[in-house]
Amino acid sequence: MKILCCVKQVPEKDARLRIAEDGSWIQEEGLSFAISECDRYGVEAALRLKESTGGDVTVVSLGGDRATKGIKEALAMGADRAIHVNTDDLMMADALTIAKVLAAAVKDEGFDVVVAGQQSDDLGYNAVGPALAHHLNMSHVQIVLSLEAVDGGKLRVRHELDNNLIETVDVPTPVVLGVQTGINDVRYASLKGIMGAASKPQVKKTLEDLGFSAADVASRVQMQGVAFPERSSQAEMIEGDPAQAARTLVMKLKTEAKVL
Amino acid sequence: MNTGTNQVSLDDVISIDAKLSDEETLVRDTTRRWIRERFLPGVPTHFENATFPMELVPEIAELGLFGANIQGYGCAGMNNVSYGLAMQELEYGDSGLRSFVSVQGALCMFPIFRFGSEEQRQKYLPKMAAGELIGCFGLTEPGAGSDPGAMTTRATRDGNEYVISGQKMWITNSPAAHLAIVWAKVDSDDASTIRGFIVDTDKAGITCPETHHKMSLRASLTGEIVMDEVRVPADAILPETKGLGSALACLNQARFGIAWGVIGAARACFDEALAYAKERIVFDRPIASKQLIQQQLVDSATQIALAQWAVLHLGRLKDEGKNFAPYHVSLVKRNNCAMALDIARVSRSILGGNGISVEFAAIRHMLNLESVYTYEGTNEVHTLILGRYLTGENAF
Repeated sequence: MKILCCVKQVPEKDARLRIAEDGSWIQEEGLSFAISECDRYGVEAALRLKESTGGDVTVVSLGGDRATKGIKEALAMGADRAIHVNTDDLMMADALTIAKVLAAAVKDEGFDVVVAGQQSDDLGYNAVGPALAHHLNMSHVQIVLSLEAVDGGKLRVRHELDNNLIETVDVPTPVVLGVQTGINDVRYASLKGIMGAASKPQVKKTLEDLGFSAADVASRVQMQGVAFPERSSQAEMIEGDPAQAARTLVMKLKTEAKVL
Repeated sequence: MNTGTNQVSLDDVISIDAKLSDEETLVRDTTRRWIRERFLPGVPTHFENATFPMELVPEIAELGLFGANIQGYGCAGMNNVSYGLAMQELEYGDSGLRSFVSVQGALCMFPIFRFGSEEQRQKYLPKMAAGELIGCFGLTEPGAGSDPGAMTTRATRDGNEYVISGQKMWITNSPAAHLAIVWAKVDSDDASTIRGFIVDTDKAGITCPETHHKMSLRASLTGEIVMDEVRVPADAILPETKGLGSALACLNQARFGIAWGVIGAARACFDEALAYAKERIVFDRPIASKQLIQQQLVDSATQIALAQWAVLHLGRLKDEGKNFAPYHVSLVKRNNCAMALDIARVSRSILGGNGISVEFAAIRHMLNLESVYTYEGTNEVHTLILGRYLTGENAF
């Protein structure tokens, strides 16, 4: 199978974040970046699919120069080649624009399967995968928990629906899969793999190469501001015997918290 | 890469990532993740039980950590900065683990690569890189530590064989080793006749008893190599070894790794002490809010940062292959070991009574670092190397 996996470089998940002076985003200066967690599982899923069906894995990443580290890590883990859409201009772009650009970069490659992380750790739009499927005219499955190749060129996919329902479906290719974290044990890149990554084929494409003008990729979403979650230490101890305490709790959840 | 503890990373204190290549940070981050996920959960038990996690050797090999800065022969072929970063992350886990990898790579694979015949390289290096053959390095003897030229191990030529007799001690990995790089005087009392041999440990006349009752490097196998007329083929000699300098060249490789490695041990202690200080409440406030604790943390972070700068400079010199001298390694090995030992003790103190439990890392590192301070050239030996360089006077 010809497999594509999408990776995004995001701030390390344990990074100590500071909000930028204009309040519109975090200060990225001095932060360490790494492959977004869902995408890491996606790379592993893509490699396992290749190992069971044959074929090759291409990694695609959109971002500035810092994206090269994530690309090299995916190559070191076992991906065969890479496409780097090299631009700093789209880091805050909306999901539909990102998907449009990614689709333009890969549409002529004829991929059978596109594996994307369910959502990125930073913006978390949860929408690039489905939008990419739209642009590539593929079907898509979100919140994928497992996948395996079955007869007839199909993939058997377990995925999560609303209300904790799990569905197993056999989907034909081509298909875009949005994978969830924790679905596999992600391998370590070997040191030899890291040293060899630079010699694997890598193509860089700019927005100009892909035929986009600035107006074509103008974001339709503007980030107005970000804030840390408010810290709250309010706690109320409910007194009384268990039955009475439970009644009081239910009443408070209905009337004060309004969650029931 | 951050520490996973949602606190400031010492990498950021000196913005080291800005001076590393993608490959170098990936080597560091990959080794770091493996250590945290695969090694750290089990090391307190191994330390308590005085065992080494041999079951992890295939994973270490799979990562490519054995002989990682050797080119070819199944090795990763990394530069020396990447190699150093890997050593640092291994010793964040435990000095015993870093010692295992150092001995295999710097003290066994390196001499075969540097001083061995092509046939010896082909025979041993790929299997050692794959972790299928484990090596140990036999130089120190009961009566010859800082003065290895006083060794009494002898190799006597007998037809197409050498017959080796002698005793080596404090040998990391010897109880698990398939082969030993043994240093012996060839039919002479002259230190210039010291040569290296590859001795398979299944030969008749050789035993490698384990050394027990250690209070340091407990999660590491240490033993002796006792040789009583061990017969090895004449081609077991490392043909390019020429006197004690060849053995010291191996030690210099290992010392470079140690200079990096102990930073990992110090960082493990610091990370733990910082996290603890932010949680531990004394007199209604976290102890991190106390000036005395802050001074200890700041002093520790400063010393680690300076040590990190030093090894990065050292690594760049080594990679450039010029202006790199043994006294550079002595300077940094000496400084960094003392620094790490000091920080382990301070960190142990910040942990209060909890600090004496092996459930915390500080005392394990503190005890380990007593060995690292002494092996591969004691602190005093490195002082004398530097003293000789500065004054021109030999004070050994």
